[in-house]
Amino acid sequence: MMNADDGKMDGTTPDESAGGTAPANAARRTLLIGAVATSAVVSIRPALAQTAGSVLNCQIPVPERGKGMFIDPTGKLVTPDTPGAFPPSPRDFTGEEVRQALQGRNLPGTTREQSQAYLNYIRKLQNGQSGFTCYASLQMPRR
Amino acid sequence: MAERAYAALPEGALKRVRLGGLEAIYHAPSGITHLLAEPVPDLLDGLDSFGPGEFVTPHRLVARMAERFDIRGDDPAEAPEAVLGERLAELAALGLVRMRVGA
Repeated sequence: MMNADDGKMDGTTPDESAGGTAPANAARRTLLIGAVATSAVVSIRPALAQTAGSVLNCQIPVPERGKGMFIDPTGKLVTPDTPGAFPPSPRDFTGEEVRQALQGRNLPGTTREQSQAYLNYIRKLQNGQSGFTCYASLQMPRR
Repeated sequence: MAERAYAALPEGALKRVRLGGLEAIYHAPSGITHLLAEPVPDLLDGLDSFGPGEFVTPHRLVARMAERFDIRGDDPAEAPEAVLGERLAELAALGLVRMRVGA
């Protein structure tokens, strides 16, 4: 359901060309804002070629910049003096690196335990945090 | 509580095509296309009307949109700002709008 496939997005010009313009729209429209509705009806995965360019090269910082926090084995952000916690990764990971790590490989430049801690952090990413959209893209079904 | 504010993406980041009651929105940075229903396209239009860099609260956005629409929720007890705020947070999660917390 989440990948009603692509391919129909080709020709037509964007924006208002399809008759959505409202120049003569003098009457006020009623805008229904149902409390139950969610925004996304469906998200359509990019074609494979684009996947390589966009999803797999997107970046996930571990953790978000500028916080000075370490990451404990469960992926929680903790203060640097916490025993067993790992320092922030010196560089962002790409979507492809994270995808491979989710399949069992270590994140580049990390030990086994460090990689697991970072992955646990990434799994906890939420709306609005850097890297969330990238991580969410990895969850989309592949074909 | 820190209030969230939202802004439209820079011009050209989204390609939007109306499909009857739905809108297909191609998000160029991720290459993902989203099919979205009312009132989301109108929310994006509303944000656009402030300009790409301008962060506005759901409150301001509702005020702007009320100039053009009769906004009607299906639960009168729930403020339109709250409902549209949720939609905006979802849009931010999809990467279709920018979000800023605080100030």
